[in-house]
Amino acid sequence: MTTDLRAGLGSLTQRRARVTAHRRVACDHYLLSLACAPIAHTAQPGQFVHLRCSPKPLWHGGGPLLRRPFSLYDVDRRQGTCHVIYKVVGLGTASLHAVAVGEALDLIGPLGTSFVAGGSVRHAVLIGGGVGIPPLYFLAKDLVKGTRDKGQGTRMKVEVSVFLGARTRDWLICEQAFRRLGVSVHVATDDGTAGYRGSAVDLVRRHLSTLHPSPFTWVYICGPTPMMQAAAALAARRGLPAQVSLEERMGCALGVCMGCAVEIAGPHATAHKRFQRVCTEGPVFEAEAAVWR
Amino acid sequence: MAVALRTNLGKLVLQNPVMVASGTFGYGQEYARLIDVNRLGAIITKSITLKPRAGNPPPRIWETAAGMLNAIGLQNVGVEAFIREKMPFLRSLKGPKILVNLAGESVAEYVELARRLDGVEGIDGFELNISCPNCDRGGMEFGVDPALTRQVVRRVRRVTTRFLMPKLSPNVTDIVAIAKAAVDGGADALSLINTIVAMAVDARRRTPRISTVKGGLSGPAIKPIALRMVWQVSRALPQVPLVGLGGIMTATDAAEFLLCGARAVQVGTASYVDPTTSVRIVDELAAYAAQQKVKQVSRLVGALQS
Repeated sequence: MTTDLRAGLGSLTQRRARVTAHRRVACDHYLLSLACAPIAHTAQPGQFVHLRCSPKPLWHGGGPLLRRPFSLYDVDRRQGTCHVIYKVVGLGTASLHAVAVGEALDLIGPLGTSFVAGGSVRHAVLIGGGVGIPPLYFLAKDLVKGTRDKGQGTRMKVEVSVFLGARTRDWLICEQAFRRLGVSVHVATDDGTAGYRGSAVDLVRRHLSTLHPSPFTWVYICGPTPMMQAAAALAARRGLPAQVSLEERMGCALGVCMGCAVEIAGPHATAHKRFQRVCTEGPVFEAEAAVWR
Repeated sequence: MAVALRTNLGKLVLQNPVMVASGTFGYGQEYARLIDVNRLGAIITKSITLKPRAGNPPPRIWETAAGMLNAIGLQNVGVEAFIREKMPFLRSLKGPKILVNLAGESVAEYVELARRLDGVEGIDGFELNISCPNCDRGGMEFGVDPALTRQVVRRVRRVTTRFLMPKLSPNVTDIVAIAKAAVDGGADALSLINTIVAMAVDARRRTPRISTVKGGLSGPAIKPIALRMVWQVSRALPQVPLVGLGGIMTATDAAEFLLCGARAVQVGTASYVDPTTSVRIVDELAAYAAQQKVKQVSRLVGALQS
């Protein structure tokens, strides 16, 4: 099975984008909104932005040296705003947390490949964990509009099932946003403080056992590596096409530094294809192509 | 006051002294989406090898205090694909000189690369990567030994008349000895410094931060070392054109290298922080020269008062 993942070589924008909103959405998790119409207008679900984490110059308390990549949680095409949800985990996100509404951050985007929903998708299974959940919301918002069948040109309805995993209830994000889309939402937490006690992948396994395997069911995965690996294995066993959004430390995000390479399964036409760039060939890859280590 | 930015590295004339460093600017086209690459003094390509290279396993990079550690492992498309796929864009540029960075595992490989590229239209010269800290064989082996440095430069010199600039490794005790050997071998100019061998540790997991354990450190953290080395070499070899690099983020940083004796500079890691850095430095360097009441930027070269 091959899907033609969209290459991330479209037009790019770099600009200082004003922060229009910045609020807490869960314990340690924040939503950041930035005014950048060109990105809002062209970004697709799965794509990301590369952000300087401080409005200040580098030598005046301006956060870490390198930018940080963030998957888009949503865009408002009318308002021209881009939204990301991040969790404070290190130097970059801690610096970002100190940014106030009205300040401006240097932003590059939209970057990378997007999730692909072929015209044949009738049922989409979205599996997200932790801060891997936000890009799936952008995708779900797109999917509920239906997909366009190439032959007929008419919109076909897509049933969307979302499976969300978090360590604990306080870290669960986006649940209400998904529910507002009217899609079915299933929650799992490691400690059982919300929904099913266990992993989101276990929930998916139970759910899929009630379904007939169908070439019209597509799986979209983003979360911590062990979760993605388990979800990808499950999709493979059921013969379902699946896409994963991978993460790696990133330098330039423009495809030049090769710092964010991940191993992709062969056979490869030439040696240099063994490691592919999350920023350019990804972040969305075919799940079966990912090499889990 | 109008300031003349034009400078030269011997026979190679640059419209301005601002180059972009190998490995940090791809093959030019990637950054052309965000900046006018025609305004650069020179573009130095990512290292090219004879055969395509897969590079090292991830993780390959780690941010340190004011620096970046990397161990990419020379992942690249190989010389034939480079000529076919990357040269058409580079050839179309009118402003910057195009220098191709060559990396080999043996003297024969450097020679074969230079021979293969010598006849290719649109290439103004070569930067010899004899200082890559991230490969098992070749690379830095050459750059830390004066005799090997002399040998590889001399052998490449024999097969090309084009501009030839070995890139020196800072991972040596006596940078001047290596510089002299490279000049002795027939180098037209020298660029310095490549990254400094370094490492970073994850204490919680008790693991190295990058897969190869050791990597090359770049960024502002290494600028003082780079300045010192440029200064040392320029004092010892005042006639040899030098290109300084290591942690240049601003026009002031670039000016510091010129004052220490570099005729041109390369912007590297800073392009990741802000893709506009290199072209901004072109403008700001002119402003700095005007402020210093210098009509030609080249007058700043070696003008450190010590």
